[in-house]
Amino acid sequence: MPIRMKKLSNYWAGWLLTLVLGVLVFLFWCYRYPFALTYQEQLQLFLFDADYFWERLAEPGGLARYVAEFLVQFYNGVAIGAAIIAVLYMLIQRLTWRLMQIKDHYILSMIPVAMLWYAMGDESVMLTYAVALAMALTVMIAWTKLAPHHRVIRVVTIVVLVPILYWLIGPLVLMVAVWMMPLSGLYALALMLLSAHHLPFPMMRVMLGISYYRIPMTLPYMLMAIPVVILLLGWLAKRLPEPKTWVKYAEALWLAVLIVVPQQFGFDTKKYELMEYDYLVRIGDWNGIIAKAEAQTPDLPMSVSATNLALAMTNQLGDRAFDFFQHGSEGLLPKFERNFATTQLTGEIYFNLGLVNTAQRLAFEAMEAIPNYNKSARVVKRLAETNLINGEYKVAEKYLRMLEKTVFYRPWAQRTMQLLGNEKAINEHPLYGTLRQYRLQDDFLFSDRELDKICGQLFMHNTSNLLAAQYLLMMPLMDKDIARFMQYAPVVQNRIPYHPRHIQEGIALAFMQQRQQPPQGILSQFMLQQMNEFASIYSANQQASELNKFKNTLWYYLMVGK
Amino acid sequence: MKKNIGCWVIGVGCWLMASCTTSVENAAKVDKQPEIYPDYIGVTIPAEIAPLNFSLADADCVDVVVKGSKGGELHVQGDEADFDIADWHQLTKQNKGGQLTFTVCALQNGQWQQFNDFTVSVSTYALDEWGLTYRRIAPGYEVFSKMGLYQRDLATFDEYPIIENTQVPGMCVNCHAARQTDPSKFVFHVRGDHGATMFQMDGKREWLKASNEQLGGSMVYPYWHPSGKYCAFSTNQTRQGFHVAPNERIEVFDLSSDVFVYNPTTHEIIKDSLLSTPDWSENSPVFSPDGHTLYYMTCKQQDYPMHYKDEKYNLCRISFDPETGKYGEKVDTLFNAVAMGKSLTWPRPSYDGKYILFTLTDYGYFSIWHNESNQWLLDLQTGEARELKEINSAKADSYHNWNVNSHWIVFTSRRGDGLYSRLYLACIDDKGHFSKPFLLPQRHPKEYYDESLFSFNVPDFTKTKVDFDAYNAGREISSDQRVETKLK
Repeated sequence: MPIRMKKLSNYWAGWLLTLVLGVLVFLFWCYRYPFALTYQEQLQLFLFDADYFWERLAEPGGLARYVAEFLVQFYNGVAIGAAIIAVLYMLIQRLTWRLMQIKDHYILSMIPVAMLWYAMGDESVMLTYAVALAMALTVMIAWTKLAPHHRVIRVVTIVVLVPILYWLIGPLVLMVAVWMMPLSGLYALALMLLSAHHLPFPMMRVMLGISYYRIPMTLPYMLMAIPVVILLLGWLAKRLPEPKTWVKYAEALWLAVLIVVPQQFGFDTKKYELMEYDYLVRIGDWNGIIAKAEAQTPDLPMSVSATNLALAMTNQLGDRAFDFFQHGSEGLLPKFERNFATTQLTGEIYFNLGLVNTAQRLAFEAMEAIPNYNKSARVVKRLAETNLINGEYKVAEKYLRMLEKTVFYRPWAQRTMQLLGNEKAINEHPLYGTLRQYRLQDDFLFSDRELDKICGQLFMHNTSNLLAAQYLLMMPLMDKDIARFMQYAPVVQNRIPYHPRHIQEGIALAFMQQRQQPPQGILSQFMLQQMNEFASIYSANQQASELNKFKNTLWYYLMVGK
Repeated sequence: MKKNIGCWVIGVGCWLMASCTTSVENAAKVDKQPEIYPDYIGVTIPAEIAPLNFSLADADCVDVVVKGSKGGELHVQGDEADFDIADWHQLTKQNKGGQLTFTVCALQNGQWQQFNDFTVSVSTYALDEWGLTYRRIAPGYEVFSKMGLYQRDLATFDEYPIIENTQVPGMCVNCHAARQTDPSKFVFHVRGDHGATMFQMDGKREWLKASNEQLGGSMVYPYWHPSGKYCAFSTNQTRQGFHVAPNERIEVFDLSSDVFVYNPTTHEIIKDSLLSTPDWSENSPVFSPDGHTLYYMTCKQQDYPMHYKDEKYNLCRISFDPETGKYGEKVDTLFNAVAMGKSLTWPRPSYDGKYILFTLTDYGYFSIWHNESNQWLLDLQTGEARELKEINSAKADSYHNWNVNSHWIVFTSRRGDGLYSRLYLACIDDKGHFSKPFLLPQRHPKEYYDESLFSFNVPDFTKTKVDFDAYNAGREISSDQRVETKLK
């Protein structure tokens, strides 16, 4: 093949590989872990105004953070989010390759991206790091091409450029400084140490990057290794001989391993499952949650709670709760934890129950629990809703005005703004009007030790609150407290016709334990037969395998299940 | 190409310059006062205060002329009234004891409108303070995000952090206090894993152990003795509850609380059985300006949280001898709020010894969460107390402090939107009458307050800028090296 043709072929082969990488990344985020993107989006409140920009620029790495948060707001559209990450990865790979300055060993230029991909399996890795990396690589390439030849001018340029770049991209400036002139790495380091004295952050956080990782004072080793690998590649590639064919194959294989294997280990599938549950709750896709739970039984507190909420919202909790794994009444109303994900989900349950004040509290707590001090657009939206329902229009307006400065929440905020002060419109609103009616009017202090009583009050206050009725009856059953259940069952059944399967099972068991016959008409004949069959098998052998056919019954949960 | 770019630059520049710099012509008179934000109409200000920038709803452009009764004039035009700081101060100083008349015109739908003039009085009373200190935190429940102690130059719009919780992850700072607005004696608490009480005296920092077993808890609400030799504290077993019904959010109550005085030189805690009674909760101690009386509030302990609405405080006093560090043997009830069915909180004596400013609420003492809480003034010469209707609002009016000459107060109020507490200043004349309070000025007040997700609390004046090395303080907090306190 003529040399020119060969060069052309290499050129297009490189682009093709980059494109393949982009497509793989896109497919990965769009189809395998799409909810990771919506999860990221809800942990920020990007506002289109000057104050937000200057606030970000007030700390090292501010520009990278601003750009990253600008991009992350588009994660609400999963395909757009996946495309953004794909383009960013492709950019980083191409920039790495340009930095290496040799046409062969193209595959080696994908190593940093593969490492980044692996690292981003940790949901706390911020896109800021990737943006800062792309910016740093751009400056390194520019320096390679445009660096002044005169030594004094070079030094002066470095002295000026490094602090500016540090402020724009953060500690990744260290990589740039070393690339420019190895000794200037010390200069960058000194700058970082000096800045720590004047910034409201501990030294360690400044050194590791204020906004590279969501949790302060830590940074995954993989993110620390990426700049080292890039510098090594930049240095090593110039010294590598032109690869033989087998070396290229070996490199390709190495890359494949580097990409495929970490995707299996770098991503905590359980965690991403929870993100999916959270997203489905957020958009109110109750049938989606149930379908997901049917495909794979949820076994973590958050997914169990989401499934129970979905069952209750579709009025199936009393019939199907024990089709799924249960672990006590905390699976209905989890205890408060100081983290965003569980608190936000718990707040969703209280919101739908009509405990608007409690939902408001948990929304507030969730937002305050975001480790990097960000605010949350999702939470601000919820706070606008709770204040609207509570008639606190000035506060609601404050939140809506903020959301008007966002891309995705703006139309909703503008529509909702019309409701402010419009009592009739709010009362007629399918959700807000209903929740207004559900709200308790008699004040008392919330107690998480009396959640069943609160559900009872909600139901007694408004008997059309079926969610409260279901939670009221299922709570003692999940706590394996039949006596308490038998106190609550008549309270509900005397007011609404509510005889789902598990409630009948509970009543049947209660009467059987008392060695009494239930009153005529309360239980179906089929239920009584089932109860008798379960009782006879159980009394003969508590470990009998025949009991397995009762696995989705209350009896099994109470007496056999562990 | 270059020519095109040049045209664009000139065009955009002209557009920007012309956007709101037109002369007011044929303004239609509107027989009402302008609805400005913040509402500065009729307020009284100190001559040293930062410009009273304001905006007008729905105005495309605002034109404001300010004329002083003793001379001087300012003219600004723009999206909002944004005065030059130096020009503003020149005008206010020239008109000390006089009035500023504001003529406001607004451009709406291409038509200028001129509203009725309004006035602002420039007080003869000096501010005698550099600025304010306060805590800024989201009005949350149990979890807190970014927060900190800040200071604000009252002559400008500049705010500086004293310490922010970003300095030590998981940390919360609260209850700062300076000796009669002098920050050379400064105290605050650190809560969280690295809890401590910080004393900074004449530039030297000391970190006390967060709690003392002999004391049975941690130091809480501080107040310096005027000599700077002592600092009074309460120690509280505080709990929170959360309301289920609308219109209420948080309830704070103390399972128990006592009052004591701390000697920072000897690290001794001076307790007394009169201030640590088993059935009563003593709280929020403050010294009289002569240092010979300790005021505090007291409440019969209740069964909490069940009877949280029965937590009601009175104002009491006990004598204190600064020479010996001993208390008197008799406690007097100075104001019986319980007899009114109310609860008193946050007593603050004026530094001239004339008054005690306090907050009255239906129950409890955490008045910021009580919409009904209002400011009251107790005249120590006549013994009479009155509700300060001239400064109160329908929303929570709560924590307050005096400036050093006792002619200005700063207090928190939720009158803005009902949730986010903001700082208001008001002037008190020699007869004990307050002027209409005004919101702490900001350069762009509408934007600032609309977008802020923080509440301001525990405001106090500060004579000078607080000199605090936050970086090294952060290291010291993390180090967990603490000084033990001991009972005297």
